[in-house]
Amino acid sequence: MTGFHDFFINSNLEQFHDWKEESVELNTVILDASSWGELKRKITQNREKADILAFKGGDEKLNRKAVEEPRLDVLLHPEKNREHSGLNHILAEKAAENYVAIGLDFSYLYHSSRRDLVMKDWRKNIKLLEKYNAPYIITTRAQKSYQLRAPRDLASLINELGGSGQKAVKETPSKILERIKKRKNPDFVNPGVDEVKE
Amino acid sequence: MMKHLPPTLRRDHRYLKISIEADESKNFSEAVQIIKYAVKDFAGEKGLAEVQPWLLKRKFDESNQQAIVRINKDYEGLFRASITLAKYKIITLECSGTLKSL
Repeated sequence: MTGFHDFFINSNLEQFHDWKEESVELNTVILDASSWGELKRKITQNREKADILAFKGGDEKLNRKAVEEPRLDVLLHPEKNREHSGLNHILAEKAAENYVAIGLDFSYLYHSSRRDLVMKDWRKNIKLLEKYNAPYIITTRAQKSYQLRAPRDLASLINELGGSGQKAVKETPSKILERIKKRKNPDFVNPGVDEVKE
Repeated sequence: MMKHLPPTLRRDHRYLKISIEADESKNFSEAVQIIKYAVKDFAGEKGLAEVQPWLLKRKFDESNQQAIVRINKDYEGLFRASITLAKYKIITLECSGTLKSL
């Protein structure tokens, strides 16, 4: 599949497979924080140097804060270690508003002892995200070659859970890449604010 | 002998070339079990009956660990989703509606 991007894999794997995608050269930072203050500080520290800034979700309050933060690009596995899916209609709406993509983590699903529960959460989240037109992506987070999966197969998994596979593996990642290009533009000030020269 | 079904009423197939990546090389019967259990784990017995995966023995390449699976045309997505969550890494290399073009 051309135009496929998986931002959270080991970049050596991409070169090994000769994908020749733009995502090879990207600097991806995945943040982990236990409080909003810590997360805010880490975002400020890493935003300048990182192309893609992701946050490992799972905490109810931090999930909410993450989707309200336009400086973040991806919120990974909001359903992790939770009894419910980690998203609701408000969070989905905020994610769409601030363009924070929800990351469906394939490695979390694959290594989970209760795949049925994870897929139940994915199905619920995808339904909400589709309703509010919020972005979502799927990532394998592969560090080794045997953890990689074919993009069409990943897309099929999303399709089976009621979402759009094309959107998850292709459309949203390419929009994120566009945002990165825009951010690197010298006229860029803040999300939604550009300097206009007369 | 019962009369053959006319072509329009026959089941449509999809042929997928797959590659199995495991530590030890798998023989044909092991490959059949891997595919069958992958679909059964994900889609259940009903799903297995719908997908109807069938490994072609004469096309099985044990040295490269590649095989061709014939499935029901309407359930290609379900089959692909099933093999992503299989015990071993299975990836689809090619997909076609006819065996000749693979």
